[in-house]
Amino acid sequence: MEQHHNPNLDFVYQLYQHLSNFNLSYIYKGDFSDTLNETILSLAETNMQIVNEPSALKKKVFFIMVESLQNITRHTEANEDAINENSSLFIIQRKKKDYYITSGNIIDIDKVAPLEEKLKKVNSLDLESLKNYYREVLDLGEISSKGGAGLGLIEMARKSGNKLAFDFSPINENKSFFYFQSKVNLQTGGDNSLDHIEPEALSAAKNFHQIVLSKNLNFVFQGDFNHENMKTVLAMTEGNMDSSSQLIFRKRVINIIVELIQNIYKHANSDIKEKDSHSGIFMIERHEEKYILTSGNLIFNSRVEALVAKLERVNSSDVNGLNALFNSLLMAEERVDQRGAGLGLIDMKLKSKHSLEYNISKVDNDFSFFTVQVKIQNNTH
Amino acid sequence: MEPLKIAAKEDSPEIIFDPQNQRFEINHRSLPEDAVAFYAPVFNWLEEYKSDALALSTFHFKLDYFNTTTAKQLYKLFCLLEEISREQTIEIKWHYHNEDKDMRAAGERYSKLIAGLKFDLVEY
Repeated sequence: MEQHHNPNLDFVYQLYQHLSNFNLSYIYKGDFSDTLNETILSLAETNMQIVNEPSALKKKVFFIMVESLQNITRHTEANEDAINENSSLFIIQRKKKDYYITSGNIIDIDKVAPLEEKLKKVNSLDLESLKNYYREVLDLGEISSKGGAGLGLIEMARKSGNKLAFDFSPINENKSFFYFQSKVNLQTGGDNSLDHIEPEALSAAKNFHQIVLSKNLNFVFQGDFNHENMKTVLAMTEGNMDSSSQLIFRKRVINIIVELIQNIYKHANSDIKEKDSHSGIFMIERHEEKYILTSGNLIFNSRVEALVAKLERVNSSDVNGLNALFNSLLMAEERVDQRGAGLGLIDMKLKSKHSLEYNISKVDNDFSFFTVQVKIQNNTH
Repeated sequence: MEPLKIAAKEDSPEIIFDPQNQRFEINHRSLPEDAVAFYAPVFNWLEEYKSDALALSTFHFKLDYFNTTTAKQLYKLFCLLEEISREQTIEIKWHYHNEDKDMRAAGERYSKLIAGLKFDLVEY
């Protein structure tokens, strides 16, 4: 087993475990735009449809998401020194029927105190007084130049029925990073008061953000993979790609995302009894000159040997060898038990021009965790 | 014979096989969830067309993307066309964007593997 260990990729399983309390987690870090926001919303919509959420819950989640995304685009302060380090983030996580929606963005340090005051005020009120407070703020007409005078915050607390979780983490003497989390669920306390904050949910989101920062990731999706959410990930990536980059580079990125995600939803094994569940993790690290795509999922220990043999054969073959291998698989008779046939791995190496980095770590007597990473360089010929 | 018409979707190609108008095209992209199921009606149509084929049919392939499970189905499709070409003339026009060397390479691959077909690579 040891020879398949690649310490550079250990973080993938660690992140997978870290997120395994949730049925679904996705994070986007970077620059936000209206088109991106649409795809973030449609990814949530797809996943809520798949698990058949009641429409009342869907509406609430949507409302909170839209408000959070608007907060990011409206209130983010440009921070030239450390754009990448501290760029904005959006996280949605689902734990059974509870949704946690977290946004994060940079704000000026002198805005921290007034914002904190507003948040504390909202959290101190019950639903009835929030309604009155909303009217009060509306009548005062204290609309800031960027729109909204905390009305959004009041509405988010009212709609979710939960207190608003938040934290400020200082970046330098002028700027602070503002974390903001709402929990959305169908069943709140039932009385007139807001439900209490779950500090562990906010710290889970903050940890998630820290891992994403330390590994330079732009997008992580963990949960049940299927064709529908793959299409949304593709739309998100396509919308986000620099159109001045080479066409062949953009196409290769899309092609390889398809192969990686289809690998997960066709081949991931799972100990969840639910039929057709293919849980896994997929992440994107985006640079101007390259994309790094990584996927991870559980497989039965009994499949490890055959998988390693395939990977080693692909990695040890040159272009001619890979083409010969590809052709022989293309011409081979189709068998029901070998869907995919390993063409995907060959194709990824041919298109990326890099060996496939992989890592296999044994989880228990039944399962191992398989990680594969593909680098795609712009300007490769 | 009834034409075969399949509209494009975000993950699957437009297919028009229309003998009456001498139009045979596969366009857009192909990364369906289940490529075998998606292409089954295409193969059925071609099986029927075999006995009723025009003296000359020119098939245009103009794809932006296809996944590896589609690659396998395309190979099967070319094998079927090769069978038809024993009785009637079949031409393949494989279109690729001038910057898309992967699509060009895919065309070259098929043209080598299916030696019995007249296969042209067309840059656009």
